[in-house]
Amino acid sequence: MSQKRVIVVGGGLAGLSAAMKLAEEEISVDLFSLVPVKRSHSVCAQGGINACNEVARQQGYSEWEHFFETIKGGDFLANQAPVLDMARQAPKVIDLLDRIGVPFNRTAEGYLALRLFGGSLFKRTHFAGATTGQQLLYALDEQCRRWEAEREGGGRITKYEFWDFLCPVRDDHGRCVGIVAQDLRTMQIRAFRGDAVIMATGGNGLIFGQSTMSVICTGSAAARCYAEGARLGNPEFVQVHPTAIPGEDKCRLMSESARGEGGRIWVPRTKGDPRPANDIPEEERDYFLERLYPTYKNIVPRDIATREIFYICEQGYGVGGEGNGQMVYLDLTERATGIKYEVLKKRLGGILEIYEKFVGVDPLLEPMKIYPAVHYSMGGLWVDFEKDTRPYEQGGGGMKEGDPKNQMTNIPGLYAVGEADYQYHGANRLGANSLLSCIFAGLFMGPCVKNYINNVKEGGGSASDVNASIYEACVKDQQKLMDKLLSADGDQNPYVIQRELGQTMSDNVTILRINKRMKQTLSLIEELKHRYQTRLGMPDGSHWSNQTLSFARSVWDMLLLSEAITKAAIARDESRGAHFKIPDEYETRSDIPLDDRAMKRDDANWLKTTLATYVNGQCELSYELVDISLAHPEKRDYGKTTDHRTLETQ
Amino acid sequence: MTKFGFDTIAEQRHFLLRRIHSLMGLVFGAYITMHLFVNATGLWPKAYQQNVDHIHSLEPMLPLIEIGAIFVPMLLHAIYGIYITKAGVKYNMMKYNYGGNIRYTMQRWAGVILVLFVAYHIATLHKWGLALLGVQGFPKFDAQNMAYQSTVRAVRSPYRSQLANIAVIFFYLLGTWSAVFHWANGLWTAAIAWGLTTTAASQKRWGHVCCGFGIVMLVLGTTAWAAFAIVGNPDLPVSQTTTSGLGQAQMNDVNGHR
Amino acid sequence: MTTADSTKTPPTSPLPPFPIVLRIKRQDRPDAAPYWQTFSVPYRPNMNVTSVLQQIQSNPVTANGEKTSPVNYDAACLEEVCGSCTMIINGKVQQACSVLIDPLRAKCGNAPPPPIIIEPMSKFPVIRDLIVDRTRMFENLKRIKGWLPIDGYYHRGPGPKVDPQTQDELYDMSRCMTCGCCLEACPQFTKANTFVGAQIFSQVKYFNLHPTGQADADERLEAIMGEGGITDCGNAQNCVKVCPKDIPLLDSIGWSGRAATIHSIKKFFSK
Repeated sequence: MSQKRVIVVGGGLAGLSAAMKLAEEEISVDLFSLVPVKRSHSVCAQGGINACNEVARQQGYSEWEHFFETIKGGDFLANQAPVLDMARQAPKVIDLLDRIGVPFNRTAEGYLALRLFGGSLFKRTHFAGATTGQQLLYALDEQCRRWEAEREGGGRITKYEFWDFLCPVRDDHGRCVGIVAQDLRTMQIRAFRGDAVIMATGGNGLIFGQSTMSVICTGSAAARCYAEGARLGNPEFVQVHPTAIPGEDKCRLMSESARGEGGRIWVPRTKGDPRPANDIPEEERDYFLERLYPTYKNIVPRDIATREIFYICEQGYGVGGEGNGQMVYLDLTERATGIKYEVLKKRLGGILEIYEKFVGVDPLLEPMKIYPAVHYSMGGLWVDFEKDTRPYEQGGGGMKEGDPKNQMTNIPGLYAVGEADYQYHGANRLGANSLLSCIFAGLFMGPCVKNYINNVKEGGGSASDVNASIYEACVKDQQKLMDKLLSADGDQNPYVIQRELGQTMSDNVTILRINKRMKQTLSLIEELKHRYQTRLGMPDGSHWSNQTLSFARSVWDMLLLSEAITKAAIARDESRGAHFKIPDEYETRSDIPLDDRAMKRDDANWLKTTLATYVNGQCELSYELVDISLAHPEKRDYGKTTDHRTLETQ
Repeated sequence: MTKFGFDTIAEQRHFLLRRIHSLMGLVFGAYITMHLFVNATGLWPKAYQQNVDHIHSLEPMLPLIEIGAIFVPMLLHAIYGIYITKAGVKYNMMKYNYGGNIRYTMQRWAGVILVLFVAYHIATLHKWGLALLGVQGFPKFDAQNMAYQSTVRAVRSPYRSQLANIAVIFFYLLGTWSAVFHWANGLWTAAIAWGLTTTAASQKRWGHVCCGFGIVMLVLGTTAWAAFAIVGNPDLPVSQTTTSGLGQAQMNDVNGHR
Repeated sequence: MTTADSTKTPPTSPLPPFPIVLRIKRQDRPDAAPYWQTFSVPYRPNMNVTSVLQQIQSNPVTANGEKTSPVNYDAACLEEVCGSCTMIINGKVQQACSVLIDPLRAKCGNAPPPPIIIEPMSKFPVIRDLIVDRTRMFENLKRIKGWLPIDGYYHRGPGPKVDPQTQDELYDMSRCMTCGCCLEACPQFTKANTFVGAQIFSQVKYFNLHPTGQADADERLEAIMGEGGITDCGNAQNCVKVCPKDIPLLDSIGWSGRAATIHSIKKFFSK
């Protein structure tokens, strides 16, 4: 029997940790990435990575607390077994990262330093300056490079960088036995055999035009699996990060760690106050998060912060415009925080630099102007898990270790992990949990995938035995698609279609959702699809390193995903996590307080996972119940005061 | 993938060559320091003659010292240095006009100028150079009593053409300054290469020291140059420079060359 | 959410609405001859070079009104942490995402600003237009064993304690995004030689300073003691000037020199 191989698509935190764990399990890995893996989007993560630690433990924190915070942070929409495992394993993940050389910030004595993060009152976030994602990615990249280079491992990881995943290949039994991919330089399309395929391809921020995501985050790879029959889970849940810097080309993230380290959010008490921020005296500032959430203050979860920022701006207190400003101040000055310049410089250097570079102002001297921006896809490819049926007290309640079902999509042999899956964050992700979910799941799935490929029975068991004609047919299909795109001579530039899509999606399908508007969006998507199919123009006919071709192909994928997101968002008639729905009749009633206008969470009808399936060119929705075996849904208001006084009367 | 290793002689040769090159530069630099010191005394012809006598008192060891401590280091440094300036590098001083880059580029220019200058200098002022080239009628360096006068002649008016003589005078200035810069800057880079200065701050500090040293060298070098090329008097009576009492016959001898 | 509105806030100081003119050095294939094209893009406040390139993508027409193909360029994070969009802008190597248009124009007062000149990096083979092949940098990371040789990924407790001063030093070096600026600006680094450049010296120091990195420390060091290694550094020190992450590359170079000296002496006498 020939050597079994696993294909990993995506070289961010999830893909790299899966690859290196598989390599350790003596499985050869082919690693595909659009960019050199070191340039993956994980590099943008800033704040940190959560785990119960010894200090927090002695203050009353535990893995259970971490689990519950995550579940509650996700508005109870996440299946609980996988989250429990993530929280349980988190301290071990940190130990491993420490061992592979992540330069985590240290205490004076040399222990790992900790900071506060949204959704928790305990310091449980480990960090490396304000570039934690970069540091984690590099450390994992180094380990993979070792597997790639060292003879001892037999070159167990082979990298295919600058390759675009085109589609999964399925055999006669329906299981995934490889992929078709394209070399982005030579434009060669070819098939690769794999006994299992892991999709670690991140989120889909580009659908929303400007987001905090990298421009490679189109969601295409996931969409291509969706088009081949893989289900999406909760596609409608998209995190809007409360603090980003607006930009022409993208929105740049201002990490939650800014608030974790003492940063405060405020607006002037006077609408359209023309004074520079530093000239506004303390008593004329409204630290509205602190006013509304006296316990959590500025570190409420992101969905909460975003919603309050949205509301305060809707009321006309936003800055950066007269009465219609969309921004608020995020204040890191010593005056507001009471923390010395040098201290914050050291702990937040990376993000301060970004602000200074792109806005031209030192944020430690002048409050930052920030606003909410699309940041993270909670939804993604639906994946399965096998429950460990032992009771919680005996170590059960989580996933069954090594079970091939864990992290597997509904297509046998096709796995998903990281931001590309839907599994860990429910309706809203807590800050500093994404890095954890990526690395935890990547490592955890190694033995699961190994057990799968070693126990496949159908079709001879090994991908190397699958009839070559299956692969050839897939390659041919993709070649045809490429030829069709290359010869498209319509008047619609693919970049323009994407921009139009981004505009409508970000206007209508982000924080606030109104069915009437989303239905309009859905018909616009329909129209864009039609224009794409009939009038697409390809401004570049080259057969060499043709970026426009790749982008044009991904525009279709973005349209498919947008359709699924919008449809699922329309269907979900409640407010949960990242999104709140306003009934059509209240569309223009900004005079009513947001909490009264918005629909409530509806556990009776909507405590269920959305499943989007692509059937005959259409998105079909179905639902499955959420695993709530460990913790029951409870009220989620983070101690919000019922104080609705308007600002003027204070 | 070609592996980088350091176990075979071939792999170590490169390291050795570079470090020898650096070391030889330091040795030759030390000589230059002394040379400029001695020549700066050219302002006082008698003192200069005394210094020359002092050096020549090392005979018969002098040729050995010259070869071992001057010529060999100089040649090794120069030959490998020329190779370095051409080893696939791409100068970009105009694009990236930072101080460090300007010094880097000037170091190499100065090195090339020095090779030419030192070759001329030795060829015209060293007995072996003249012997080797067999140049007739060129003012010879006369170490005994006439060191000053013969040097002035060689630097200031070796040729019949006044234009050529002016060119030589400027060539000497250029050569001297190149030597000063190359040596002071080389002292700075050597400290980095050998690992004496391991931080940007220490490199900066050492840079100030080298700069100060360079200024001292510049003053000495320029003084030496001026002593021979500007204020030098080729016809100074031997009586004013002699240290061993030889007289007019030798003076005539020198004049006879003109 | 009306994100679009807030990105179009009017500029605080009125700048003349001259169009943004880009002169781009293009190349269709690695073996094809390069050529120049000029593009003119309507000015909007708060643009960077990347957003101008994005405008060209959606309307690939030259300043003369000729249709052409969109300019190909690498890009990913657009916030200067991934290193992708490194190119030569107005003669200096930098990331397209962090070159802002307004400050460039502010220098010109009311005069029409000069065209922005954009070229691919010159020290790496061009793939197409502004895309270059930086494989050499990643290959060099393999040669120096750029990783910590830990036993495996099963749980074995925490890593070694590191004092905050060392962590500080490590962190500075760990921010290297392999963008290649240091190499592009280095006169010693060319296509014709094997010089590894500041990036690698810094990475060797990075791994050798870590307690776990000690195991391979000699090998890593020896990898930069041969041809193309630390002895070939000419101390032009452009690397540190152009490094977008302010990595203390001079410290790494100085450290490498000292480590090499000590190692060679040790090796001479004790092996």
